[in-house]
Amino acid sequence: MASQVNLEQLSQQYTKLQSDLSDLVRARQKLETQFQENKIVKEEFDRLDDDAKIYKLVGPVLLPQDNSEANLNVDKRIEFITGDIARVEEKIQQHQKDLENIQSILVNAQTA
Amino acid sequence: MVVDLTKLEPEQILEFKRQLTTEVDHLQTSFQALKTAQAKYQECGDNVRQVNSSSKKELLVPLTSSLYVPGKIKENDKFLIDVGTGYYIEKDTKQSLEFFQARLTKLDEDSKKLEQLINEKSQVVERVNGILRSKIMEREKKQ
Repeated sequence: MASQVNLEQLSQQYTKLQSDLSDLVRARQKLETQFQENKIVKEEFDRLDDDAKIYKLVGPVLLPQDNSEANLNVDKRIEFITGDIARVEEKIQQHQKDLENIQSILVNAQTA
Repeated sequence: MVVDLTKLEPEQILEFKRQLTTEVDHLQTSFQALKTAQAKYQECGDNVRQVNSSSKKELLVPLTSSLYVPGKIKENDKFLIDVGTGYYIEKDTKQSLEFFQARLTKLDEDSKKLEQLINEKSQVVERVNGILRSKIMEREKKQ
């Protein structure tokens, strides 16, 4: 009886991990989109002349921005996103490992 | 992991087919999105050309979708272009057109690649369908 309760808990845990994993994958995709967008902006900045005028949309108004400041901002954002991606990737891998573990326990219990 | 489809049960093949179709659908949606983006950039380029070439510098500026006020274009060689993540860059006509052309070329490349991928996937779906059909016939014969 005790083992049955245990198995039930495990399968609940399994379902929870699965839904967590799909949340993480979604987050990973969102980050990738942001990363790509920032990369495109960065490429565009790299092609600009030094005296090109850059504006930033803040709420409903366009504010003139310093060229180097804008560059720095995008660089920092890319750095940030890359860090976030690494973090989420790590979590995804951990979840996958946990899922595999539980799966093998469940399979063992079934065949036993 | 390589699985021989012909050794699977029809139910399993059906499940596999369902997965494939979802994937193809997803790719089709992306393809449509690329086409929409292309049309948008095309329109932007046309607009820049139109503003730059017209000598009449008057136009109606929309304040809301149903309220317009008359306006004048002071400079028809300066445009602000949205490059993403809230940044806008001031460009002249030539630079603007170059910018849109570059984006169009990129999108064109991407959609060609995507189209090829969709074709390949569709072929796989066709083949899976064939296997599924022969499997079902086999089963009916046995019964």
